[in-house]
Amino acid sequence: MNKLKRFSLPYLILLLVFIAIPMITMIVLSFMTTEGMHFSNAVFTLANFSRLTEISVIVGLWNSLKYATIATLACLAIGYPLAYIFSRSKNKNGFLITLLLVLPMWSNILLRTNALGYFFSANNMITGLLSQIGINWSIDIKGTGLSVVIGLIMVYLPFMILPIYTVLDKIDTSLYDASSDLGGDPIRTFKRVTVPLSLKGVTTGIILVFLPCFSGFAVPRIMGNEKIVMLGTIIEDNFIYMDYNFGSLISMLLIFAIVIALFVISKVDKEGETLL
Amino acid sequence: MSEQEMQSIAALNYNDVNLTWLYRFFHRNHVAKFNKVFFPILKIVFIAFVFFVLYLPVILIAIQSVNNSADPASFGGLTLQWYTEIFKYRSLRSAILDTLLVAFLTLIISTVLGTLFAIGIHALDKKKRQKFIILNNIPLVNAEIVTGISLMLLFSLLLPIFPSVFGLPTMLIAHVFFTLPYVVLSVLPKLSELDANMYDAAVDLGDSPIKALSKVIVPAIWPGIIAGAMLAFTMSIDDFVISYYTTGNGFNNISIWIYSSIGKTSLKPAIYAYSTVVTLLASAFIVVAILWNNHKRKAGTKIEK
Amino acid sequence: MKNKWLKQLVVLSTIVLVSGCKQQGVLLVLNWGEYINEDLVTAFEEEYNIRVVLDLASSSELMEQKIKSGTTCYDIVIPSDYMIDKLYREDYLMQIDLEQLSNYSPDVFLPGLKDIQDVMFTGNQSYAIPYFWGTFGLVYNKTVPGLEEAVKTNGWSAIFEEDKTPVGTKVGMYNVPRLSYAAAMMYYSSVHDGDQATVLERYNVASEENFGLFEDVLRQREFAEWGTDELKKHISAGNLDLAFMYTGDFFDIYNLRQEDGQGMEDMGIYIPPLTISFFDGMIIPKNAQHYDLALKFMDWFLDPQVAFDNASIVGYCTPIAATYAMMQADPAWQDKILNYPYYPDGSNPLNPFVALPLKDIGTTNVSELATIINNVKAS
Repeated sequence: MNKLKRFSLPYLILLLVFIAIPMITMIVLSFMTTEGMHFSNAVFTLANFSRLTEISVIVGLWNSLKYATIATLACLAIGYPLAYIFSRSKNKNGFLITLLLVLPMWSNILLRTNALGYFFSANNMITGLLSQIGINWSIDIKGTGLSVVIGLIMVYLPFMILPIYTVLDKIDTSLYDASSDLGGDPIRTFKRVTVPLSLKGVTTGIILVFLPCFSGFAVPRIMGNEKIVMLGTIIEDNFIYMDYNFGSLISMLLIFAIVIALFVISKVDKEGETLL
Repeated sequence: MSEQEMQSIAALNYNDVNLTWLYRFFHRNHVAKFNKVFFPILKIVFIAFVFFVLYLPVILIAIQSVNNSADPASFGGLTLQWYTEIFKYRSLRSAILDTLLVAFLTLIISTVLGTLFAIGIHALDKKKRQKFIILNNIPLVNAEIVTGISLMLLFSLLLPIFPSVFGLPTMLIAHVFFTLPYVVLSVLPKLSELDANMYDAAVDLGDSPIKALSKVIVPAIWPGIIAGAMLAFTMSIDDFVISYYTTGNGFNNISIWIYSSIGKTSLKPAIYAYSTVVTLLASAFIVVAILWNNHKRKAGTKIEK
Repeated sequence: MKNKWLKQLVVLSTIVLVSGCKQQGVLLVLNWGEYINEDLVTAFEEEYNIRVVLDLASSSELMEQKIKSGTTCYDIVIPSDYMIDKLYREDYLMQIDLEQLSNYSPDVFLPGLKDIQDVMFTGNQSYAIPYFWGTFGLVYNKTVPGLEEAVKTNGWSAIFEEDKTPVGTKVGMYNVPRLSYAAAMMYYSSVHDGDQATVLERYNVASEENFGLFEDVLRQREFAEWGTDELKKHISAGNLDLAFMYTGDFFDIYNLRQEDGQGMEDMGIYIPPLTISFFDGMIIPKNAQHYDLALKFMDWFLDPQVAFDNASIVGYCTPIAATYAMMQADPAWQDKILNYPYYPDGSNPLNPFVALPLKDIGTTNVSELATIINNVKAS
């Protein structure tokens, strides 16, 4: 088997090239003013760093943190019990559960978010139908932080459920029996047996939900009526309006957050088993 | 409570006592019967609620696909006309075909390469392997927008040499790049379950390394390869941010097409019809997969008996 | 095994080589969404045996980014006048050989277009062929009590000042920096400055003072949403009450509703006395690979009948004189022409106005405007 080691070499090169070169490019761009990717008139400057104190960046960072945290916690609060129920049910079919959770992801994320956006507006299909039978009811929250959070939960909930379910499923049921034999009640069993063993999956789930929520721009743009500023929307704007320099700098902020997440994962899950 | 009682309680593990008390409260006889009925109902309601949250948008899309009014804000009666129009509009048609093209190519390239790379990684010693896995995970946890922009910058550096590289080539490379880690992570666990000696035995017995690979290793890790392939295909077909930044020249994928037309009148209702068709096909696939799975299980238990 | 690899390599390389800019007989067009009658494109394809690929962008700035980033090689792009001016000065445009356009003549266009073309660089007529033109107007929800009068009395102030509209009116703002800047400056000038010259100075010039004013003006009101094409859809659905947008957007909805057999009882449009005029023109970027095909495409849309069919789908006003004459003679067009400000010339007594064209203010300034907008959104 050892001879097969060489298959990993091309992959190593690929990963290093595709990760290192762009990162170096972004670092270089952050320290200059260029016209997009044309380095002919490039000027070395630290001006981009002073823009980090602009109110849009501060509020964007705060919004990203706020909404990502709320969405992640909500996904955890909903996802963990669900994963637990599934893992403890008698006639469970892991394959079926995975497929059912993944099926919505086969509908395009933008289309789903847009549909949800309509649902959260004052006038839409459903309210139209309901008013025809005399019910005047609508959830008019599109454009608020709440709708952004709900949109994020709707999209990323499966990413929380699946890793936790995978891990809970692997717990040997005899451990539960042993615990109750030793006199533990269900709550104690949960605290002392289930929670520690599921920690890997919970960590994975949190990271798989938090990072996209923190850095995304499509869901906040649609659900927030383009009013809500988040790190992802700032980056996108900067790249549309040709300010690659400031855009790169803020991207570095995101990368920083991701490095922290990677560090956490590597401590908790060394063989990469729970990322899927 | 008297001072004495409080002290004795404090001497015990405070949390445990409280929770046990809580449990005992719920477990008293007259409460127990109520629980037997209450909790299952609660479970069902909860599961229903979660699936409602997940599936509401999908249902809304399905309703819009039969909505006679092109405007999702009003319902104008039922119609199937949008289903006939899926391939009518050139921009949508080419977006659908391009998406499928990239997804299939990604599926093949990513699965083959990913499996080979996973085998390579598995063959490394433990420390190197763990470090490699961290590197492998970087594209996975990296923000999509950062990956997309990184790749765009990287490919832009190639522009002086290949001025028309943006389009299918860049999008394909980008898709392969971000799906490889998924394939690798699907195959690795299966490799660790493998008996390492089987490969060496096959080689010793005279098989060429490639034959040994395909006849010994690949069949054993087949479920992992399939899972990885499915993942690669799914991630590719619905990708938005990375495709958005690595495309060029009219080579669009469905997500980009939707993003350019969202909220506008150019978002043809046909896209809702397309989306519903995909959902129905995927559901049919699930049903078939479950039936096949059950059939296999029954067959398996028969043999065991 | 070796054969398999070889075959795969061949397939891959063919795909790589065949895609991209060098494809034979393929015309790459970058256009706004819902801005072309696709049947006409199909007819063009059949007539000349060419394949056309239509790509979408939602703003001139996005078109600029796609051209400048080098990731594309479109043969035809259709940006707005101020962007065309900018792209020319930054040397991104190819000159158009007008002799090869059989349908072109110096007076093929309606006279009003000259006002806009005169503001652009000299010789722009041989770099950009006008495609559609128009003005900006205030589109409002008629069913909101008091809103119609508020809009007609106050013009731009209805958008930017909270007390000039009924309480609870949901107002949208255009999410393109250059346009929201122009509108804000136009509003400021019509309220504070006196004459037209000052208006032009404000809204076509970027300065620290103007940027400060821009930010102050935007902060006067909490907008219900920011958007581009979504604004018209949301007003049509009743989820938004008032916004300024391209006049053509209003007629897009008009056309759609006409198809469904419905009218425009709940939506109205009003052009303020001073407004923005524009035209979108077809240009050929320097790195286009199919110059001759592009010329054929331009010539196709200069044909009066083709332009008429195009304008029957797209709500914006046609720039071609012969086509407009056809419309004036056509009974189906009377409602639009007489009762609505379809024609971008303020001479209609129902809604008189003066329209001023935009000039480019430079990339760094636009980027700064975008930052100001984000700062306003953030607080």
